[in-house]
Amino acid sequence: MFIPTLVLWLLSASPEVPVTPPVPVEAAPPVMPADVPALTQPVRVLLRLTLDDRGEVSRVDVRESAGVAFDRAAMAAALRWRFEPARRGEVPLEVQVDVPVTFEPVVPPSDAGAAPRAENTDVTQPADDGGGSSPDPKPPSFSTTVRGQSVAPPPVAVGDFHITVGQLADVPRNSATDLLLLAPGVMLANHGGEGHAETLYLRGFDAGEGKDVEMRLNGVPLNEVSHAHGHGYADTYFIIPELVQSLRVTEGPYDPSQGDFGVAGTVDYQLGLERRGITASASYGSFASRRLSLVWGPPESTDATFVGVLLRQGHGFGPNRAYANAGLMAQTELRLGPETRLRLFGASYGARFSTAGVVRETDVVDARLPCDADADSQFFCLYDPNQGGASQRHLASVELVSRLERGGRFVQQAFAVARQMRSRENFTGFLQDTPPVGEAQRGDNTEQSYQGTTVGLRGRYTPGLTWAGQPQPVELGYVARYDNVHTRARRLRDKGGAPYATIFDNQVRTTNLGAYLSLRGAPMEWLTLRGGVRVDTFLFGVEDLNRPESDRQGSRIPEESVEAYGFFASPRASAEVRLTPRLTWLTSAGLGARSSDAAGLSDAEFAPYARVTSGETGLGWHWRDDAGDSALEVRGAVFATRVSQDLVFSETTGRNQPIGPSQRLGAFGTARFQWNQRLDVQASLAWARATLPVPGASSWRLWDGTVIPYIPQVLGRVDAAWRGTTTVARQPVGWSLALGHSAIGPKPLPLDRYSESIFLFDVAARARWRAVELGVTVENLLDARWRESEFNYVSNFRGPDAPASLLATRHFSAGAPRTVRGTLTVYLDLQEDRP
Amino acid sequence: MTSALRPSRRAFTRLLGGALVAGVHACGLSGTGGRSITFRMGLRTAMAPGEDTVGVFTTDTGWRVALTTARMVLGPIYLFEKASPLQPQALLRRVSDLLLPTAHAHEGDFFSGGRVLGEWDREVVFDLLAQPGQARVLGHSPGIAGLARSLSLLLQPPSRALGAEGDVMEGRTLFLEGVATQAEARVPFRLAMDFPPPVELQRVDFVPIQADLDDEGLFCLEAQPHRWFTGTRFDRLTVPAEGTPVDVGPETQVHRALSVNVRRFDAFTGAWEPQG
Repeated sequence: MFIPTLVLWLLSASPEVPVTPPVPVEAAPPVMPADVPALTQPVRVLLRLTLDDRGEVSRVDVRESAGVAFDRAAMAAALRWRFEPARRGEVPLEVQVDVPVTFEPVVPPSDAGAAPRAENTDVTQPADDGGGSSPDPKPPSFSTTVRGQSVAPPPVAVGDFHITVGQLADVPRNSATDLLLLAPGVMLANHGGEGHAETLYLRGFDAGEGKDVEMRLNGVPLNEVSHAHGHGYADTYFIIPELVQSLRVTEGPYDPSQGDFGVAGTVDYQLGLERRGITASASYGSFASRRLSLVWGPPESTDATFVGVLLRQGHGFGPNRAYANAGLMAQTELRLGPETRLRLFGASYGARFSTAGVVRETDVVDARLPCDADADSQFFCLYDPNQGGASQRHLASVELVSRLERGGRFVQQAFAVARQMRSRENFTGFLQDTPPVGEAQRGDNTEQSYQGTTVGLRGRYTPGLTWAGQPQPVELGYVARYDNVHTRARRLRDKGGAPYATIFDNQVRTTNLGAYLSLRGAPMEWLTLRGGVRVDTFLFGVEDLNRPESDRQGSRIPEESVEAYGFFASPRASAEVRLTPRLTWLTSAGLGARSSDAAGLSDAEFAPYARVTSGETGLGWHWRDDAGDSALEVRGAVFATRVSQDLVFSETTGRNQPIGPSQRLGAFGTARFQWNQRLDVQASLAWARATLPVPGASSWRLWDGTVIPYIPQVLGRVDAAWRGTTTVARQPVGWSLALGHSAIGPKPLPLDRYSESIFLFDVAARARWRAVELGVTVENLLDARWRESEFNYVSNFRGPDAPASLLATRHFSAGAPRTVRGTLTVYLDLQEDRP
Repeated sequence: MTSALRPSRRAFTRLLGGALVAGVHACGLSGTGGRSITFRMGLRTAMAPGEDTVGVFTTDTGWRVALTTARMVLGPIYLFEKASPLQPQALLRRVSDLLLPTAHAHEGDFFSGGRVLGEWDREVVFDLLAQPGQARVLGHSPGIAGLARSLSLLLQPPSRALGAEGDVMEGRTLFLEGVATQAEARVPFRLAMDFPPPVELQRVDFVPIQADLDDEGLFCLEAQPHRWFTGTRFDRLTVPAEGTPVDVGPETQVHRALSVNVRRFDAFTGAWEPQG
């Protein structure tokens, strides 16, 4: 692979006023062109970039060509670079720079004669005096050398991660949701099947399917208010993993831009397609799993223009686990002018899935389930085959990005989401029903349905100011969101599946208006302060469609309206101390909030909120070699969190219910090492303890209290990918090996018990020759029998007439066994489409 | 998976798991509250006060009863943490409750006895006279350590789940046979009783107990057949001339009295025997 070294020769400085050279802010490396012959000697493309007085690359010319493929790769990358503009004094200048981009073969130590690959090289050449399209008057010239990759915004906390997926995309992942494992302290579990949102554990929070984690995709909010399955339900199954370029995971409420549901943190998926051309991939594997993906992006456009299609289907790893889904995502970036870009983004998705649900541990041990008596059959068996669901989502977004004077930025976005989902789950068998006299229990299968639309606006404004040495010290942002949804839960008969009772049936309309102000300053060279405040208001309008037809005063209309209003303000701040050029001490604190589930509101009340108070402090250390080939980043922090009103899963309703205040104490450490575009390793270890505080105790007694069950206390994760090339039959063959390892420590269970530890190993191997790549992935390599979700409650699955067990006992949903998949991928780079 | 791989996989997993468990357990138990236990559940027939033979007692109406056959289907058995509202209370407490009655919200549960601390979740055919004075241990049962203060159980016809064990009951819930005597009167009797659904008519609720449940102890449910016969008037039965047992039908006073008494809170009791 390739890391470019940018050598910039700028025109010589004016004799009167010193000229500050341009500084690269974003300089993502070019992609090594696919399907090019093996390199035996370096190949160099000399580009001439015209940088306008805002630092944008306004024009790219090839001054020295190295062939269509290399020219195009170098130009495509250069179009995405961004610089701090050159300045004469304080006045920004338009300048031209010549940048050589060199693709060089690598000679591995073990094989001196083969393995050509791209490599960066430092090249210093005499300054070029411009020419071609140089502006008038001709800018002054001088030369400088700049190295570096794309630079993410500075983190607001140690636990604020801007994660570029990059090479770690080689690690086997079942969906885009699994990319969250790249953030430390994240565990995912799924009790609902392939198509049901994952339960997310983060920083000691059982964040459910999204109640405590704000999820966004390219800025579009994904959490669904008052969802029948749980307030804040966020399904990311529809995201095509190949299109995820990076994700920002902010653990804790420390950034003023974080909004509703940002209790444990915020996840923002950023889409992009770096590899241009067409990439088609087909997979087949265990349990008849089939996967077909097709992504493409025109070579002449940036990585923000792409289309992706994904089809998945399979029988699932046990009975009643079949699934089928299809998704499409497309985005186009249009340049409306030198300073304005318009992004049009859309996604459509449809899925249907079955699920096995949970089983009682005692029934598995005693082989009482209606499957073969062997241990594996019992482990993957089920009670109620009428479990599963279907989901649809259609999403559209328009984003206008304008660059302003002195590096300012103005972003406006409008979005609309149409959503429908239905799920059926049975957690308790035959326990909840109060049947009519003379009839038996009708079953506890619960149908949850949700449908509605979301429309909204969001935006931010960063004036091009400089204050106390800090560029862009102020940011203003807003969000306006309106949801109109119908959310309902009903009980279904065990026989036939007809609904026989309604648990709730609400038409919910909510309006969320939020705004924030963020400030940044550096009062001293070694100290940077950030702070801000966010204000949110909510208006709830609920039509309760499940009221009784009569009450003590007689007959009535079985509907009722409820309205409520709420407001909260959340200050957030952080202090960054640069102890050394590489070592940073960062301390952050903030308030966050989760809005109320509209289903639990009373009329005309001041809507209550779950408020989270959080703080953390920790160190970050980073190193990068002079050539920019290798980098190591290490972070670690301790944190504490207190929530005023927490929610936990209730098997009775099949959704989350309030339990009062909770608190967390924890720590994490993470490291990522990248070497020479060949090896990329990330490892993390996190610990968290979640408790219900002792009533009346001080807020500082974060250790005391009853431990909240089911939340893992120790989580470890390793992602590693190794890429290289070799020669087979005189043909260069690229290869990669990847490993993903999750270690989940014993989860506290009710009655002072722990679950068993879980260790999962996923591996992948790929080999590519020219445009064809073959790969094999093995998930759960050791074929561990593991419990993905575990619960402890009362159930009765013996039948409608059988005496019920009333003692809470352990239930679990089985995790996937070893799964093998083979993949054939074809890369078409469309070189004829020369930019 | 090959058999050769499985042991190595297990060993590896256990090694890693051991390290993690050791790390976590260094901080103590999980701290989620409560403690799970395993204890034994048993059945026994209580002897009437002053008697030394099981199944022999004198009723409050003066009849001397000697049972020759006594079988019943019972279960499940639930042990609750809350006290029975029928439990005898101190006078002051009773006066207080009378003046300031406690409001009871409907919990929607099977029995408002609070959390279930232990249970035997299946039916069993119990021969009350088979092991005089001895407990019939049904097996181990999961539970939660703590003081159980009331119990509840079901009386119901034998289900198919009982299999051949239930055949002896011929579809009935309770079968009693014996002789009642008073002065010169002698009434041999035979009685079969059913408790069909709904479950509200099958439950024996609010049985007061004091059982400090813990690991490996024995909880014995004691049937008190001498209390079942409270108020029975055998003199109202007509004895056949040939002296064969009277089939006590549901229209009789004895049947009605037994039907009520056998579901009263004092028809059973329970005793806890810690692990010896």
